[in-house]
Amino acid sequence: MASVLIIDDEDKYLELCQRFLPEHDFLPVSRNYAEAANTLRQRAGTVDLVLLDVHFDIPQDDLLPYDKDALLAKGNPERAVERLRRGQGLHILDRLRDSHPDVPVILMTSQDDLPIEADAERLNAQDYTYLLDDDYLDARSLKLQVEAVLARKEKVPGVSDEPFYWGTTPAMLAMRRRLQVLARGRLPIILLGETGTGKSLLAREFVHARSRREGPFVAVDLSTIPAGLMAAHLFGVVKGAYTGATSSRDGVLARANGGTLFLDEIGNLSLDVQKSLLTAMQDGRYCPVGSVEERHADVKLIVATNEDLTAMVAGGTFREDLFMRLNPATAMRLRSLRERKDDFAELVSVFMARVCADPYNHDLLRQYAAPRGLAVPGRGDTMPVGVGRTVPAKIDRGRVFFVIQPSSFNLLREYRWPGNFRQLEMMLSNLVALTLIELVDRAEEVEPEHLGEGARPDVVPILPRTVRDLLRPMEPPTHSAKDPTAAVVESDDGTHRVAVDVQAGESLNAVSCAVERQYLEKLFEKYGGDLGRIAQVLLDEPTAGRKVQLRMNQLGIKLRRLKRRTESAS
Amino acid sequence: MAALKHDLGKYCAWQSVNLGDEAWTGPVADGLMTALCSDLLATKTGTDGDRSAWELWDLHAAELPRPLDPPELADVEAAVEVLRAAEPALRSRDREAIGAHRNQIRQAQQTIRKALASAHRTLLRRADAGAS
Repeated sequence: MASVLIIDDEDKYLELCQRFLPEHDFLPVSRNYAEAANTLRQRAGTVDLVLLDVHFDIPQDDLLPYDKDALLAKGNPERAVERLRRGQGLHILDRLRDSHPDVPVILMTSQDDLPIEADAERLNAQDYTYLLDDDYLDARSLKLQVEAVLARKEKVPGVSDEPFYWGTTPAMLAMRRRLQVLARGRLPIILLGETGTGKSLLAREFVHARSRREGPFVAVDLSTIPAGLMAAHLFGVVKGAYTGATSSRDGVLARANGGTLFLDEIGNLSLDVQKSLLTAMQDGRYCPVGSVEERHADVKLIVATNEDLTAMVAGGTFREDLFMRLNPATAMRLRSLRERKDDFAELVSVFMARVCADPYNHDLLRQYAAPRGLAVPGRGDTMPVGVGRTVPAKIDRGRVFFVIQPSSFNLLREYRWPGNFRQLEMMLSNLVALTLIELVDRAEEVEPEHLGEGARPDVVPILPRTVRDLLRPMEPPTHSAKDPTAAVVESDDGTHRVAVDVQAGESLNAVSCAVERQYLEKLFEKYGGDLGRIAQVLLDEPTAGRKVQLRMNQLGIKLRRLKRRTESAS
Repeated sequence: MAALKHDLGKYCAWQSVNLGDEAWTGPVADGLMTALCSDLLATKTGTDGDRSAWELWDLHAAELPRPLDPPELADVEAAVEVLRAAEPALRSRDREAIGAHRNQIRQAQQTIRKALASAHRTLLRRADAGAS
């Protein structure tokens, strides 16, 4: 049974679906974007499919975009609003994609009925947005479409066994299919993505493994090699080529012959070396440093970077001919952890299993399990673990189940994870170790009669405090109240000047919220937590403190904590 | 035209088109009665109340050029009159009268859908030709 969310201004789709597709679970209909976003947030990762109407006869205030001033200022306002109603589904789709990039969406209309704003890129570029084919929907064609989309969402057999976690979203599975095709070809592959997104893991475990090449996999992180030694490292060097070249040695190109060469941080390559690499790529010929003797290497080249190579080409720091030779048309960008909120729960499960297999954590698990009557695996076997937000209904003495409270889970999911999967893995490893150490140390207290009523030996709760304590040091530095640059400075004309930390966010809205959050926090500090005074300053309404409080709550500002911080600073 | 196609064409047979042929012969079953009442008496629902198929047509038709253009709209108008004639039977849930007229109703629903889709495409083609 799939969980389906219908976004529609009427109940007609719901009635139709409940009658003709009774095998699925239809959530209450969302009437507008705000309701849909709320439902998807509350049911994070559990909505399998969204059915989205396009035409919404809803009040103007509920229509996206919320700021309509510019739209209404141009031409006939009534017509502008009518256009918004006729194409509202597309606006909703755009906003949903910001927060839920992978949830499959069926747009409940046909090509002919789409407003002209529905550009092809928006509808076709993402293979998780589907459009009905028929002029008029009937339940049978809808059922077929729903089943087809859900079938694509099913896990691809064998994918879960791979070292890289692809997840179940159509976008990631499409990337996997594409990379598999590229792995078999002779052309180079460019992998783009932030640090920790698994570029080198994919190159080694996925591309090389599928390249059908018998030679070795050789990886080089070019950011760690001094510029002067880069050519020698890549192409090799003959004895006496330069001071310090006391012996001849092969470069990575020779070592990877017949296999795969992975050059990480390709943007670090100097222009001279870029030219030599280009020659080697064109016909496989190169000369070691200090030698005129040509060598030949046959390698499958994979390069990775977090830099914008196009911009580097435009700026003259990366050769255009080399860039074109690297096959930029098929460059693949690996998603950051921030962009994988849809399958965050599954990612946590995968990485939890991985960190629990680590010898240190595994030993702790064994120490935890043994006195509590849980099955302890033999040496060399892995202890089965699970993780979730709620306690499983039935006791299972064959595994340990970690429970992360929903609030902690949300904290983890909303964290910005600059180190991506690597950082998540470390975080989970710390959580497991710190939680288990606490419990293992109390092992002598744990006898069956001491477990207490309702206590479950197979369930290990991860305390919210532990999550918060581990996340706190990773938060970006914030100005302390004693820092003069942090305070709100009031000018003679009554305007405020305040320094804020601005970092790239997932959306402009996220950036705006971060700025607003800091401003409100600093006002709170400046006025000693007097919300009335803040309301006076911001709204010229001293009685509107409640409004300010609500806004601060919406922005996720913890007033109690802020108050404590303000009091301790003063 | 897009609005007419959406409001009337899409919803005038929303539930009933999914019923099998058996629903359109023999005694009038609850399923058919419910579907027809929903499709024709409450073709469009909203906070300001339900609108029947003929009310929707009247609303849009007032703004259409006369003679109707594209000409397929004349077929829509005639089909809507067939549905309008069934209103008393639908409101009183008169199974006998519905049973006697259900095939005309079904035919009229199909005509409306087909003619509106055709008229819409005609206008799109004209718009494309005008743009080029």
